[in-house]
Amino acid sequence: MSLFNKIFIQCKEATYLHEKKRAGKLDAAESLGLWIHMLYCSFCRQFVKQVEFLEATAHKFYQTAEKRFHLSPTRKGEMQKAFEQELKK
Amino acid sequence: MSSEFKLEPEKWIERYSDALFAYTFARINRQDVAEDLVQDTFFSALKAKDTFQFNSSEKTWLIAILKRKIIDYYRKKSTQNELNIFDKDTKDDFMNHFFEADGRTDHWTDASGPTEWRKDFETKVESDEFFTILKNCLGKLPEKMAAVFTLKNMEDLDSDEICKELQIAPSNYWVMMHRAKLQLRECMDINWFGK
Repeated sequence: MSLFNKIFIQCKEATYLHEKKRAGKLDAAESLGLWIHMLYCSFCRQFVKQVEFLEATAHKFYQTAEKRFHLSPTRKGEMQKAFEQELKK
Repeated sequence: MSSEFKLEPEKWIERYSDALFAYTFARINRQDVAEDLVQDTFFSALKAKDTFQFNSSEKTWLIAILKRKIIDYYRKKSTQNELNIFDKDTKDDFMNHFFEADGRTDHWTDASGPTEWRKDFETKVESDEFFTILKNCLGKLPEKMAAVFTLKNMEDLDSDEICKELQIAPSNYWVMMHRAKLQLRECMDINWFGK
């Protein structure tokens, strides 16, 4: 990729580079390109804001799973039986 | 008085099966798989009971075993179909759905470009309805995308550790995470924010 194309990037590249940035792996040209793009692209700014918000809510969802789901009583019964067999061995 | 924890396998199912199932089902959106992993966890724990460290609780120990099984599940999904690995510049229907596919530009289309979410919707995100929709959207992610997204957000694994666990290259991780977020954001945009 030419230096010009590295610095004047399009939205597909910008949203990809945002991911690479989070892993701390951007080189200087990519970093500059992403920074410039975000200055003028409100779609990409919204994208970053919204996906960060969704990651935070997904994290909360995983952490609070226990109060949301339960094993079906039938499956629990089957599991209990199978496990009792195993305990006797 | 002893503060040590002890193992009581005969009570495991009654005490922990609901919690372990919920933990798994939130992270893997397939009920049958989640049930099987929970059962496997109890069996594995029983076999490994001599390795139990008496300074952690039974539940913490069982969750640690289960977590390994969830990671193993996603590793198998990530390494299947080696041919189906995308390059960041791959132009396929998935990418063309989000970005203009006329061969000249890779910008958002007017229809796909993210616009601001209503603040009053953001304040209701703690509701059960929100989490139901979020789960549906997470459940629609293809498994390779679900693998990176779930492992990144379920615990405090960083991207290097996830690549190691899933046995994938960093570039593949970024490609999959990029796609996961494009799809998840759009799904929530449509189904929760009502656009």
